[in-house]
Amino acid sequence: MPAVAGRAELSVVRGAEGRSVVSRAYATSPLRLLMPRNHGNAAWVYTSSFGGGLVDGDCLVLDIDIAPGAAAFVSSQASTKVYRSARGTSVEVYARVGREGLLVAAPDPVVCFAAARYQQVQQFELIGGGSLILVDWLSSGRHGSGERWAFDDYRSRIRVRQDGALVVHDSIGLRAEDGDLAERLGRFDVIGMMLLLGETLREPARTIVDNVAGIPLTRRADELVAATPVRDGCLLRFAGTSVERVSRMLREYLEFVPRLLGDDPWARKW
Amino acid sequence: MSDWLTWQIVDSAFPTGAFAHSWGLEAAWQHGEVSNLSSLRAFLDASVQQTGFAVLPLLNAAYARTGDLEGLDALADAFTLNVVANRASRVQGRSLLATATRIWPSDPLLALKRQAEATCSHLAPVSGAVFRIVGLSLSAAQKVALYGTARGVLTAAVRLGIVGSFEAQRLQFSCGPLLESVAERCHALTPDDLAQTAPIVDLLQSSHDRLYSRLFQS
Repeated sequence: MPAVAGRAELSVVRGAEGRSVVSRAYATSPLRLLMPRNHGNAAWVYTSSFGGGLVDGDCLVLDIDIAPGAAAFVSSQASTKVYRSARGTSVEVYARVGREGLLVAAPDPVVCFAAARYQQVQQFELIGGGSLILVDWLSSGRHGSGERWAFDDYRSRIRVRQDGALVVHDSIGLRAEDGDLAERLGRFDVIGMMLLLGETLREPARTIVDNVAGIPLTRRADELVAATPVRDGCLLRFAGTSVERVSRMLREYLEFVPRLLGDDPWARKW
Repeated sequence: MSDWLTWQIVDSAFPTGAFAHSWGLEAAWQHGEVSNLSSLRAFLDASVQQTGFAVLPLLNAAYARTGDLEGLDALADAFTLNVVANRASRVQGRSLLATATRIWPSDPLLALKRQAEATCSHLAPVSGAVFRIVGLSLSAAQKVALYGTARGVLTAAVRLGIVGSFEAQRLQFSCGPLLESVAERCHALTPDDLAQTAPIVDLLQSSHDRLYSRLFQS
C-alpha cells in the first residue's frame, strides 16, 4: 500500500433545541468520518480509515472544532493498527472546545505491531470553560502472533491548554533502542490515560479521584490505576493485563458520560 | 576544583533531603512488582533511563539558559502530573536551593532563589541553574542527576530490606555502563525531547500515598 496523508476536519455547533449538529465534516482518503444518529444532544462521530490501519509513511491529521455550547463524542471504528514501518507513521489531532462546549474523545486503543514506528501529537485548546474528556491508550500488539511490545518506536504527546495556560504536557516515549520494551512494561498489556478537564466535569473528576484513593492495594493486581487532580478535573493513568478488562474499567469510570450526552455510545461497543 | 565539587555534591553528607525519597521503589515493592534482585535491577534501569529523558531535557535548558526558569518550571509542572512525583520534585528543588544558598551565599544564587520562589521550584530546572552557578560543568551536572537516581533507588532498596548493602553496591557498580550510555544519549536533549519512558514506574510511584504504612515521602 502506498503512503498517504489523510486529513479530516470536523465542526460541531449548537443547533435548535440545544442539539449539537455537525456543520462541517470533510475528509480525504483514507480517513472517513461516520456520523451515526443518536437519541441524545451530542453529535457522534467515528473516524475510520479504509485500510484498517496505518502503513509505512501514513500521516493522518484530524482537526476538530467544538463551538460554544456544542457537544461531541468522537471515537474510532476500531483500534488503530500500526503495521511495520521503517519511515514511520503519524497521527495528529488538533481540537478547540468553545465556551461551555464538550468534547469526548474516546478512541479504541492504538496497537503497534512488530517493528512499527508511530508518533502521535494531540493538542487541545479549551476556551472559556470548555470541557474535555480524553481517553488515550496503547495495547501491546498482535497477541495472536505472539507479539508483545515488539514495536520499534511509539511516541505520544498530549498538550492541553485552558484559556492559553498549559495544563497538561503528557509525553511518552517507548523506543526499542532504549532497551527491551517487554521487560519495561512487564506483565501489563495495556497502558493509557484518561483526562477530565473543565468546570462541568469537576464533580465526576472528584468522584474518580476519591474512588481511586479508596481502592485497597492488592499485590500484583490485574489493573494499576492512579488518579491525580488536575485543575478543575483529573488525570487517571492505568495499566492493565487485558484490553477487555480495561475497557470495562474505563466504562465504569465514565458511567456519567451517557447522562451527559443523553445517549450511551458504549451500549453496543467496548 | 570541579571534581572536588562534584564529590561534595553527590556525597550523602550534602543535605538535599534525597534520603526521604524512594523514587517509587517503596510503592513498587509493596505492590509486589519489585521483590528480588532481577526485578530491582529492571526497576533501577527504568528509573535511570527515565531520569535521562524526563530530567535532563529541563536540566540542560536551565543550565544553558536557553529557556527561562519560569517557563521550564511550568513545563515541568504540566509534565509531572503524578502527584507524588510532582511533590517530590518541588520539595527537592526547594531543598537544593536552600542548601546551595547557605553553602555558597553568592549574589547569583540568591537571585536565583528569589526568582524560583515565584515558581514551583521543580528539581530539574532548579538543579540545572544551581549547578551552573556553583561551577559544575554541564556534563558533571548531568551525571550528578543520573547518579542521584541510581544511588537514591539503591539506598531505598537497602533501607526497605530488598537487598543488603553489598548487593546494592554491586548493583550500583554494574549500573555504570547504563549510566554512561544514558548520559551519552541524553546529553544534548532539549525540552522538546521531554518524555516519560517508564510508564509503569510512574504509575506505581503515583500510588505511593495509598500505601498503608510507608518509610519514604515518595
